[in-house]
Amino acid sequence: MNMNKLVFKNIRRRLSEYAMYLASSGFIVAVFYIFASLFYSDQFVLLQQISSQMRMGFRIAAIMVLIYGAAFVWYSTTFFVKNRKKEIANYLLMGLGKSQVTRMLFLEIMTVGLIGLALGLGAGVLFSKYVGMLLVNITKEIAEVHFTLAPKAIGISILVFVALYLVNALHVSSLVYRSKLIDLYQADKRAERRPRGSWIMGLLGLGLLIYGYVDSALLTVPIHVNAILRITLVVVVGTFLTMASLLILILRIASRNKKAYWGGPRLIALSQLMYRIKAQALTLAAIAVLNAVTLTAVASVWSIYSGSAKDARYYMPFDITYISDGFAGNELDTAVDGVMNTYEQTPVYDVTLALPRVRIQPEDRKAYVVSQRQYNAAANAQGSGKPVSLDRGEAIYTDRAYYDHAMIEDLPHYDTIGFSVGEAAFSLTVLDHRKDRIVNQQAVNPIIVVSDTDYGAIASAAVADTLYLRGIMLDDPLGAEPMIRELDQLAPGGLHGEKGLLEGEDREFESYVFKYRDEFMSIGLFLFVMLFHGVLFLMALGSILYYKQLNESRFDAPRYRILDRVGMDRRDIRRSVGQQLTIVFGIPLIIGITHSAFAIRVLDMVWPRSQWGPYAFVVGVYTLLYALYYLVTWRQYVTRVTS
Amino acid sequence: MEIVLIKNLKKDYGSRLGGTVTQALRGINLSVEKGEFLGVMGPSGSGKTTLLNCISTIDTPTSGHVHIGGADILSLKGKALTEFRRDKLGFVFQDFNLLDTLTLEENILLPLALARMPVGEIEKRVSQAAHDLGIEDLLGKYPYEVSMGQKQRGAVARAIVGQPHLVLADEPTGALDSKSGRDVLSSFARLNKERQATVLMVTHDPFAASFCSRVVFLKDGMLFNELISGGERGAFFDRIMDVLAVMGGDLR
Repeated sequence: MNMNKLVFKNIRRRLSEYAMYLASSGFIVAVFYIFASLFYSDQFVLLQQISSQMRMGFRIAAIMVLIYGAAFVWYSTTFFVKNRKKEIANYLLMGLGKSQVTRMLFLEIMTVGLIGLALGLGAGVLFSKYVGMLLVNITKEIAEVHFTLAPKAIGISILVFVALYLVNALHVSSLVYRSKLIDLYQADKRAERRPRGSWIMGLLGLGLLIYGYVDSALLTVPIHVNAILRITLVVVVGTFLTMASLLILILRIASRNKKAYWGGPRLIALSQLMYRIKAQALTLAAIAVLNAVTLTAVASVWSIYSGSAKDARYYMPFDITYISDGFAGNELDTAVDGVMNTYEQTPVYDVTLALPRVRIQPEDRKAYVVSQRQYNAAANAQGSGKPVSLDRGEAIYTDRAYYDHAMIEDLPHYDTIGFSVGEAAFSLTVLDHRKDRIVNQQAVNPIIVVSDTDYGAIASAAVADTLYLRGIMLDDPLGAEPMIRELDQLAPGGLHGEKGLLEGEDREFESYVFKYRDEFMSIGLFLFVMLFHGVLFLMALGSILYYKQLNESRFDAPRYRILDRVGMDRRDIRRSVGQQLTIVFGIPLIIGITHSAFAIRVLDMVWPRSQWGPYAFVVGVYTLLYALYYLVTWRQYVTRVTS
Repeated sequence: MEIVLIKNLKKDYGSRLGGTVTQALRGINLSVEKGEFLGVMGPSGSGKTTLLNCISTIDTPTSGHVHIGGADILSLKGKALTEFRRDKLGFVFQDFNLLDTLTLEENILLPLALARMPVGEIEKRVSQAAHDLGIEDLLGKYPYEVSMGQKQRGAVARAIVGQPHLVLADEPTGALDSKSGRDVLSSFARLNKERQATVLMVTHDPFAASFCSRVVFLKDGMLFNELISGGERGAFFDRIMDVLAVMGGDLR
């Protein structure tokens, strides 16, 4: 039998062992290819919204995939070789030269790597059309997706991953080449003592965790980046210390409760865990932290994404809006009407709001005044906000700050509001503070809603200083996109200069449609990238746990043989393994979820919408996928210890 | 009262694929009384391990009957079989088979824990078993912390803690030096006398066999001879040696 045959035989025999690795590394290659093909794709060049910035986004995404792909491949192969030290020692004893063994191992790792590369590229090419469809779907773009091959992307994937596997195989082979026979043989020797666990370290870790949690719970807006960094650091260190000590202590305490501990298979599960938890603590802590990172990242992006349409509507309540000259039949209005006529679009609602510019005293803040009649009509047409009913002398204060509240330190609050208009001054009782807006972003200043009577008085005092804003609602704004794009060409300033505008006012032609497209394109793209990264992380973490546990099963097999003789039936074995794995898989997940929940709470404070719904959804899906790894590992573990 | 009753037990190997059939057991008839300490001796290939495996339900015979404590063990299947093995049989192996992750105490109580026995009862039984084998002081220790002989006494304690009908011992002194071997055998003999434990021990060692109350000799899958101890070990040892000399062959 020559060397190549031995290599292939080895791979064939270990196929089931390599399967999970091939799946994960193949997925990494596939995701890399997909991002690379999006970067190079001609298909998306045609979309005007795919800007060069977004292409850079894909490039960065691909590079990041490569970075943790490399980390994963490195970790896994080192792990495979460590597991096989005894086998390697046997080859050496049988008289194979060190260089031969090294070459054999090198060939094996390269072959497996190339199989993964081929599988990944195949899957990437095969699914690229569906991924393209997913991208179009997520970003709400209007585009046809065709199957395309991206030869450049294939080339770069092959180049990059062959290089990665080459470096990796060389590294691993050199490990073998440098090792001594005696070390290889003693690889399986391990600490035989049940670790004691240090109370000091454990309590310190727990203390740090509690401190971090409390610190984060006490955070108030505005939030400083320093505080976030401090809390993250404290919590990460706390996680590692807790895992390394406290977990052992908890298991020890649990084992003192004879009633629980001596009740069947739990005895085995707990003792095995105690025996090996120390060797696994760091991995488990790292996985807990990475679970937290993945959950937080995916959940926050998902939350922003799922609120995109609402956000777009909030900032752009009118489908079309621009600052007009006010008087009937002015140039700009006529031009706009002309375009709408060409496209045969009839507005469902068309209004020119007259908003007197006022200054809130004593702060001298700019604001607008709107009449109750205009406000109710606009809000009704926009389908937002409750109608208001005001008497003379009463007002409602509306401000965007209540929506983006984290951005502002002190949210304004008035019992009575005084403002000046030219020489005149008014003072009104404020009944309510609202975040509702009826105007688009051109007018960012607060708007004071007043009774129609008061409005008359204010308007006549502000004749020379009134903002005229034309707002239009359409039946199907997204369908009218071509028309809106043409309207956009009319402004800004094409027909008149910037004269008469105040700071915070903008001549730009604005549309809900633009905002909607922008939101979904940028956040959708972000979500798209995040989804792949999240799944990739999950797969890597799941595989690492899977391999770590299956490796342990090697040591457990003789123990379960003994247990079989002592009278442990298969059901008890399944249960005992299940209990053991529940802790190993469950603790990093629970800690990850807790950590991320605290992180999401902070985000929840600065975000206008609640984060908890989207967060719960992401946690649910993540847990479900994670549980799949748990179940597969459980099955394989039981098979290995009972066969 | 008979604890074990074996009738016309036969075991063939290797017939399934049409090759040559090896008859490992060729019609064994044997009964073990309650409180007996029975030794099974024979050269290697005589079928003593096969016999032990058939009794211990690890292997199934080709034909014949095995009754233990009145139950026909060949009719037991699945869960009932595992429970029978756990509750009615105790095992002692040459290589101890103690779990290195458990203390001696935990190792001993394992069968009871698996049977979901109440904690109070477990504690009572474990301390009794530990007392019987003189390892009370070692209960908190791990297998790697005690000597080979102490390990094997721990294993014996585990075998008897469930108060089984029958303790099966497969070369229990095979891995021990003579001093530890003697300790283990003495404990067997004492358990046998004081607690009326029924023990079936397979051994190739005539010295070990001399601790038994009765020894049967197997040759080529059949019972060859049988000796009953007169109570004096030295004399019994000599008689065993005589039989072995007649049987000849490699004892292993």
